[in-house]
Amino acid sequence: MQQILSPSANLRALNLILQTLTQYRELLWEMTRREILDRQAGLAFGAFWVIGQPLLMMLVYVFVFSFVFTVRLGVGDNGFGYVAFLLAGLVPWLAFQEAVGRASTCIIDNKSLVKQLVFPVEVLPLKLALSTLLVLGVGLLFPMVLTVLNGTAKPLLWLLLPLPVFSYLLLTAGFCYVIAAAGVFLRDIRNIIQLLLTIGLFAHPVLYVPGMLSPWLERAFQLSPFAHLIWLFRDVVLGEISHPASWLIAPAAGLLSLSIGYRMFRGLRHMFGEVL
Amino acid sequence: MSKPAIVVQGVSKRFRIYKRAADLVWELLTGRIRHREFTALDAVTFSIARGEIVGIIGRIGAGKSTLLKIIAEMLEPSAGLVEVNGRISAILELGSGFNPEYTGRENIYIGGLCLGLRREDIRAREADIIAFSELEAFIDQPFKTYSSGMQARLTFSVAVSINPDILIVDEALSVGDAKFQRKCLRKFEDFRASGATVLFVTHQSGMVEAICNRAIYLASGAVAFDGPPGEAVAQYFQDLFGQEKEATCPGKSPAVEEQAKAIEARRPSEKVERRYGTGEVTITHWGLHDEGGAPTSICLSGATYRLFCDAHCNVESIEDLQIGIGVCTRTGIVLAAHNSAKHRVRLPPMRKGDIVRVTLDVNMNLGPGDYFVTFGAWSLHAERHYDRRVDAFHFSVRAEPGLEQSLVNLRPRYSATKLMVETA
Repeated sequence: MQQILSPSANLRALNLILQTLTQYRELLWEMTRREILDRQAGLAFGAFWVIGQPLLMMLVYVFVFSFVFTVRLGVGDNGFGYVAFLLAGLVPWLAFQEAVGRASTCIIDNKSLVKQLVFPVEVLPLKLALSTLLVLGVGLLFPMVLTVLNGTAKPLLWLLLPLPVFSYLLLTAGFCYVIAAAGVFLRDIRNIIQLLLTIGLFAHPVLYVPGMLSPWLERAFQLSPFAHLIWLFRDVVLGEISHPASWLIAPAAGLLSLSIGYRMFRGLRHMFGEVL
Repeated sequence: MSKPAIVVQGVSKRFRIYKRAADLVWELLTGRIRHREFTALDAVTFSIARGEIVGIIGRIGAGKSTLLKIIAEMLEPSAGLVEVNGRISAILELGSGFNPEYTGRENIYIGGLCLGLRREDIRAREADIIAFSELEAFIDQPFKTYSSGMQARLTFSVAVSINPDILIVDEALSVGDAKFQRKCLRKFEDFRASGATVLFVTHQSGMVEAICNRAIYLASGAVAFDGPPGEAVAQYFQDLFGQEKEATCPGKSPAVEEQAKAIEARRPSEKVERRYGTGEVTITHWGLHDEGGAPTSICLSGATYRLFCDAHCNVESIEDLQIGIGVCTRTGIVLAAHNSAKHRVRLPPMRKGDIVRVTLDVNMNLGPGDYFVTFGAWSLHAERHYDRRVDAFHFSVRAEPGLEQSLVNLRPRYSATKLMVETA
């Protein structure tokens, strides 16, 4: 445990990531671009699926929770309030789900690259995390527009958006590293992750209105770094800083997640060649 | 003295083989061993200096590819140390390393970026890479539509474009056509000249002898031989085709004896012959006769000679014998290779104790110098070498003045004529 949390080891890892980033920034950019564009290559409506699929998912959730279950934030909420609230948490979760869901197979899918040249495998999980920024960005526009329509928008707070986005990137990249490395050795990881992600949606404060759950459960959310991240996005989008502690916890958790994930990935990387 | 390019010290590699994926999990959970170990490399040690071209030969499964992967840092050795000084470019698996959906041109980009090139570097080299690969007509088609030879070309072209300090190639060349192979070999020479190091695996022993200055022969994961390519290949073939036989010459005539002595005396001091084969047929003696039928080992350029060898059958029956005689220069360039099949000569079926003599009447149209003759006896479809005696016989050629720098004697008639020049 002490070894995992050792500050010097984690700092070294972060430094290594920075080096990889600078050395291979063009490769990373190219691969991210292609990840977004090519994933659906060969499909008739390729470009549509990249953005369209997550957006459709959002629509389904919005429809079910605000029209079927008619959840409202409080008295005086015409429905827009809850939808904005829901989307501000749901969009980062769906983006995370997208990246992490594919992380388990990202090494195997690029088997030929990994086996052939002297290839920096470290960029593969990173490109997954980066490529979901598009969905995250486009998705967040919807709750922001809703708050404007609702007259509750605080555009000045939007300037803080880079911090949650940055934390999102760190956290997601860290998870991607761990899952990508594990997925090489055990292909079941893919199914396990899908299951955990489905459960995860309900184990995080995404759908629930504050006060809807028992207090112990609300406290339990504090344990998940992703809950803090969701609160960050919500604070910015809905224009009310109601979770000040999370503004420290989320970036810190992100840094820790990335460095631990990266160290684990590095530790296992040399064994990839034997399994692929 | 500069640091060696590659130092491999006591490197071993053991693979764990799990029958099922679940075994790995159980082993992690319970700590009980649920795998078999397979030793691919066993305490391999060597070092390669800058500017060397080293070929690695050995049977399938001898650990050649594993060794290259460890040097390229794709696999971690189970024991031992690897030190690499310089930028590596590696072609480890044929035709992969590129996305099959992308076009050749896009693959050049991705490949270059993977090798650590900047976008503008690649743009600058793109034309050269395409020109080297000779795939201009196909470069904008998807990689998956390429033949394996074309894929190998593109991979190779990208890998050499970064001017690596160390180039590692695993068999990728064997699929290219002869012309492209020659081009690659020339590229190796260029690399060597610029101080870079080339390390490659091949099954084409001729290639090893032609371009390597050193060869490492791996057998069951260990270095069986490390040294001059010719000897490495000979030892490899010996292990592959049969066991070493003492050179015995039954029924040697006094004349031949005498001639053999004469040749022995003229031979370069070190024993140059390399011999391997199963021994079912042995080549027992040979010689070179002048027009008068007298044995000699010094020839006059342009005159007629008879080269012969005798093969002795040591088993009950051999039906499919072929015998070949080849002449090489001191540097190993094959000048002539003649065998019974090529000349549509069917050798008689042999019984135990039979001897067959093969003669080659030749015009000695060679330039002055030393030449070596290789004799071979093998089965019709070359599955088995009965006896192969490489550089077994040495002879020299003398020539009239004027041919000093010629490898062959074209028997020219030299003349010069002044052409009319219009002065108007």
